[in-house]
Amino acid sequence: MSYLNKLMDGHDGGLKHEGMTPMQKIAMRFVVIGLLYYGLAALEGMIMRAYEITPLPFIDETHFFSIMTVHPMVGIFGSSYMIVFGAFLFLTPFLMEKPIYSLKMANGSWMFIGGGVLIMWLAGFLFSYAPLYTLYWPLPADTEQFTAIGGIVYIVGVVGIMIGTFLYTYNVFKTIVYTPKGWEKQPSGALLRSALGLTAIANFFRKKETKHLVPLPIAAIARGTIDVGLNAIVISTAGVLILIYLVGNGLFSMDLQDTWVDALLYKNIFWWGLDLVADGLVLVFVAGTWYLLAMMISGKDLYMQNVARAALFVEMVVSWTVWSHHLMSDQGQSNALKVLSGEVVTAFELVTQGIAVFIVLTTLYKAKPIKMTNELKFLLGGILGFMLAVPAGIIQADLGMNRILHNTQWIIGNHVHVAILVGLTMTLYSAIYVLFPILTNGVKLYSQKLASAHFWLHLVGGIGMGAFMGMAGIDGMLRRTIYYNGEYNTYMILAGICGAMMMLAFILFLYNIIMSIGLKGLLGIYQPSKIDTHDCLVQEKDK
Amino acid sequence: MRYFIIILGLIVVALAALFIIKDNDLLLIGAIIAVITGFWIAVFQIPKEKDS
Repeated sequence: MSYLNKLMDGHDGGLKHEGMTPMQKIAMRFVVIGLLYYGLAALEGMIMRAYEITPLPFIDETHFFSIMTVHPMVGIFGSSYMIVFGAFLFLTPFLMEKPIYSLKMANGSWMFIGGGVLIMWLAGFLFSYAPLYTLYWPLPADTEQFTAIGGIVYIVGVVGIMIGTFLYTYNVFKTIVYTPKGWEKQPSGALLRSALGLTAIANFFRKKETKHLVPLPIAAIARGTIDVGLNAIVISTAGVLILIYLVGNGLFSMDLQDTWVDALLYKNIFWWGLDLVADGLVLVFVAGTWYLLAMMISGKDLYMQNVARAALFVEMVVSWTVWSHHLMSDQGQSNALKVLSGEVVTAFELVTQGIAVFIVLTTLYKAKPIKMTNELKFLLGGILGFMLAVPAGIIQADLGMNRILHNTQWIIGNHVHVAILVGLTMTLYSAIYVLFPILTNGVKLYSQKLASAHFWLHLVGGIGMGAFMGMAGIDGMLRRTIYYNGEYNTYMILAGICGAMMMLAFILFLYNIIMSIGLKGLLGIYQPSKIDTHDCLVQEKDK
Repeated sequence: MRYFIIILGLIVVALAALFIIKDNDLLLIGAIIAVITGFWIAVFQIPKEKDS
């Protein structure tokens, strides 16, 4: 078979998209777009890494900061949200053993989020809109630094992402509780209470325990989805506020005063919402994904299931109350919030995350001997990532240490990038490797050597980049700052090499996946499925 | 549908809170509790809606 044939048709016959169910196709659509956006975020990251070594002649300062503005949004919403939502929109009906509530809504989600990210990215690329992703008030509404049209395009993109996100939240909850046509009436209220952990709480006060109606991963998906919804409300609110000012002052020359909104209050509410992504849904979703992966890899029930359910609920409540660790260096922030929310509750994340790690590792240990598959390697890599990034976060959420580390490369290196690139992304890669044969009806991976190279390059590159950025931060290098005289070049060159390793890892992974399924199969994912989901379930029941 | 209407209402309430609350921690915490409670109410409307 020639190379070209293999590229078109895939390895060992490749992906036969005609045999894929609608849900398989939708999940793959999310994942493919999520991976493309990951590639874009990686490319942006490498441009910024190179710029930190020596300013690039074809990018001016303004554009550097517009790249920095869209980079986290592309990474979080374009990549992480897309891959996670795709996986969970597939897993929710799969684990509840019924069809998804709405295929149209699921398709709408990836279209709105994918399109929204593109529009938002264009605001940076075309209009150099650059108030950074934190959108600190009144910077995003400043029409002297940025054009109003750039800001409006950016917010339109954000609105698209939020619409897709709300559709996802509704579809997940509705799939858990609804009764498919022709089925016996489902106890919808009880299903929702079980998914959200209210049944587990009530069991503490009952003599006879009520049975959990949903599997553990569904509990994690539901609780993380609460944080997704809350976060979307806050980001939508900020978006509407910014839009009012941009349209009013920028387009209609009104005189809306930015002092009408208290900047510190805005920062509190915005970070409360944003932290629901960082400390809420990521940790809850990740713990739930770890539990599911541990069960699938080991073939055993999860160790300490009840504790795991309780920890997921505690994690959700903790995520609502930790935001103040982002305001420790704000002089106006009250000390009570800094200590209680910023230090005490934040430190509790070490406990909840520690419980999740203990449960997963014990489940895997009790199932030994188990084969070191790709999914297991990446799962262990993901756990390692969070075991590095969570303590780094706890260290910087200390009032004393925060004076030294605030706004330095430590925060964004050791904590954020290690959490996202090593912790979250390696967990997602594990999920992709485990779901790959399920979603593609058994397509075989093109090359195990490429998969192994992907693992080691990503792991070493991710930890290395975070570590060298962190070292620069300890030496005083600020984040969001360009150094023109090469003050931190040793660290930045080393971080750049590690970043290039991760970029290479992604290219190898993408090549391996494309060669496995073939370009024809890849394009076929975006064609309508000829199979009715309800028919699949009837066939399953008949077996 | 009620889920989406409540969410729209919560966005309006949160927007108003940004203009009304100034430097007051208790009102800030109250607003956060109101958004959480409102969203839970929205989610609990979902089982009550018809399965169309």
